[in-house]
Amino acid sequence: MAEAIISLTKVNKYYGHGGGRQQVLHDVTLTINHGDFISIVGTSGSGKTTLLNIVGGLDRRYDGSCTVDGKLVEKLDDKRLARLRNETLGFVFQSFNLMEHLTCWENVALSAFFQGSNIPSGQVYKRAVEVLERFGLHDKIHSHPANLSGGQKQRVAIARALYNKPKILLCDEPTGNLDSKTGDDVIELFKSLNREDGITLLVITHEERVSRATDRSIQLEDGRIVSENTSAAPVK
Amino acid sequence: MNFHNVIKLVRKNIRRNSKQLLVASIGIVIGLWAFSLFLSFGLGITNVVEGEIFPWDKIEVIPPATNLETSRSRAPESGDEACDENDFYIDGQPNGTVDQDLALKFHKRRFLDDDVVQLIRRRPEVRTAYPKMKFTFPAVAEGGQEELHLSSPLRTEIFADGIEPHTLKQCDEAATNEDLERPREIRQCDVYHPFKFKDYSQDEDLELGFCEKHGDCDKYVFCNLEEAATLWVFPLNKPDAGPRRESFHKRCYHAVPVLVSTYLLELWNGSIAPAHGYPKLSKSTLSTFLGLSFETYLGLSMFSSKAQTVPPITRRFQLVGISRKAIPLGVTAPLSYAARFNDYFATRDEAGDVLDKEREKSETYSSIVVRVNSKKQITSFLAFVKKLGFTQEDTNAETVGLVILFITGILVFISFVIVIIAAINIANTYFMIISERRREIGIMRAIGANRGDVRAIFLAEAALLGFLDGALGLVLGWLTARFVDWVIWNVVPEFPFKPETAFHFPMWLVLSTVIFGVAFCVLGALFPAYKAAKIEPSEALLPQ
Repeated sequence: MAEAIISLTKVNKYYGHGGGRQQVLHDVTLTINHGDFISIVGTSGSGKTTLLNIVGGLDRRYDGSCTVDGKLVEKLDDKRLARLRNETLGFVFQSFNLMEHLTCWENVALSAFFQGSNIPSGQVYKRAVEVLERFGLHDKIHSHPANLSGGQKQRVAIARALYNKPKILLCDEPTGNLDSKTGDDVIELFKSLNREDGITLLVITHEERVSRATDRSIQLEDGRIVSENTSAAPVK
Repeated sequence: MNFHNVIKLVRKNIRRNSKQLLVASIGIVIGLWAFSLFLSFGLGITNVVEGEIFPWDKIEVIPPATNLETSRSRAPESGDEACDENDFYIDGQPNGTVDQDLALKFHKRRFLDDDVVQLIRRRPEVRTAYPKMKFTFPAVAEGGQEELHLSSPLRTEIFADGIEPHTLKQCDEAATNEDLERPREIRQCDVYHPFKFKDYSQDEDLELGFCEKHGDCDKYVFCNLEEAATLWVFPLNKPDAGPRRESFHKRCYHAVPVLVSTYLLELWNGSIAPAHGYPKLSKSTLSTFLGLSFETYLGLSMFSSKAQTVPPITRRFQLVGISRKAIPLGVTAPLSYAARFNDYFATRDEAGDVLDKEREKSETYSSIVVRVNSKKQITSFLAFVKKLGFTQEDTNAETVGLVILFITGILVFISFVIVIIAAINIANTYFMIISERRREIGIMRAIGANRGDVRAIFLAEAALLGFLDGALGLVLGWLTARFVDWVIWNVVPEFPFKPETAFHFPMWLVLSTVIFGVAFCVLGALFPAYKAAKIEPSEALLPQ
């Protein structure tokens, strides 16, 4: 039986206070195993990103329980949670979220800056170049993000997420800002990372072609899991 | 996150926000410029005041005012604070021998003589101590017509005192030449070659030979062309020899060697010379004026018509050096001259004997000038002086020091206000920067930065900015100081004690300027940095 790497139990999330309080997640219970490639689909405002933020330890103000790689997220202090994000998780965002004033290799190596241990700068650079070369960006190592295309930016963002060899990759609309060809390339990239590196992928998307590429697709509606499809079956 | 990485990120961030930060830094730079300039000015002026005008280590011990009315054999009054035995320990030995004779003596006699000088010299706080004896009669000096190229001789009332010649540094030819090249602050010679500051004995004068005119005598030796009865009214080394006036007509003689103070020199150059169109005594012309002689009418006064009990006498005084040990406004002669002159002018009884209460004018000192080792020891030494029953000459140094301190304090306070306002501006700028970098904060948090890392990045950025601001403020302060010095020397008219530099930049001032720069920038960024660290990553990553 596959071992669970992410586990959510009766997670409820509210925004606002008092009369304006709004529930965005309703008793979400979900288990994701090692090596899963899962998509969460849903319309805008269905709670996809909120769910991802909770799994990624970016939002701890929720009710219920969330376990990531055996660690109870809501019980971790700030430093431990930061370490979890640094060592176990990788994030890929729709708008790439690269630091415009840093070069590609510096963006990729940024997570090394926040590692507790002192890694020699030569080693950091070598690892950043290695990851960038893997994604065909060997000629963009010293370029700034402003000089890259959307696809290149997203590949740099993925390279950054993979720098610390995470167990889980959390992707929020990773193809949202890409043309279909580049989007397909990114999907292929995710597949290979899942198959070859054994990385667990949780992809939030509203694109059918993305959800179809995943092994399992979970549909959220108004903060509730309404359906779950295995293999590349089309979303209802 | 290690230091190297923080600096790397911080450098890039400062470069990115350089325009914003430059504008925000202007206030800090101006504040620290003002801080370093005002404080260095205060220190520079204090140096001049404490070093030259009122030396901090100089204490002039004087008898208490009541002593003027007391007789030498005054018995200790009941209730007088007796001297502590420790005050008479020899060579600072805690269990040394107590000089009971001295102890007894000071309970009975409270005036300054050689015993007191010795007692003071034994104190561990004391570096040097030398006695002074004031002339207790009026005197008028006249001369300088030839040397100063005047239409008529300069005539002025003078004050004078005497000090022991051995307390002065009398330089030979080589040392004199070398010393005259030095700035006045670091001159070491008191008496310059070929002059001597000594008591020329009458016998020596006799050996100088006869003359018909001044040129007949050796250089710096004068010819007595007057038959004035008062010229040699008493012998120099032989008090019992009686008047020998007739034998000195047309004889060569040494003038009384006198010193003037650096203070008087400054007053001359800064006020008297410009006001009357007299030549200044600069470094280059100083040697020319050494040897200047003038007739001095002892016992005469331009202010008072009070007649002396003895006829006035005339002596020629000759300037032989410039010394910090000389009386500030007046001339200083060898002490033995002062003693004899005072004895001559002392009031006598009908039998011709000096009255008891007048005797101390020629036998005791008017003051003892003491140089202490350090500022910290002044208090203990003054306590000792008070215990002995003496007091300290009030030089107003303390008042002047307080005024300087007060003014410097106000100026420094103003600069601090500027810096504080600038720090508020820095805070405002950082709030703006943090708002702009909100998403970046979210990214950093997402990839592993904890709250402390975010805080450290912003504070390190502010610290580096503060360091640069402090350094810039300091450099601008230093450049302004150099400019002001240039103006003082090249534009501002001469004034007494015109300093080489009006500013003093000690290492602690340099460091504190930079440290304040860092501290105020960090202080300004502190609240914004804490706020930045508190931002939830999920909120920071929301599209704006």
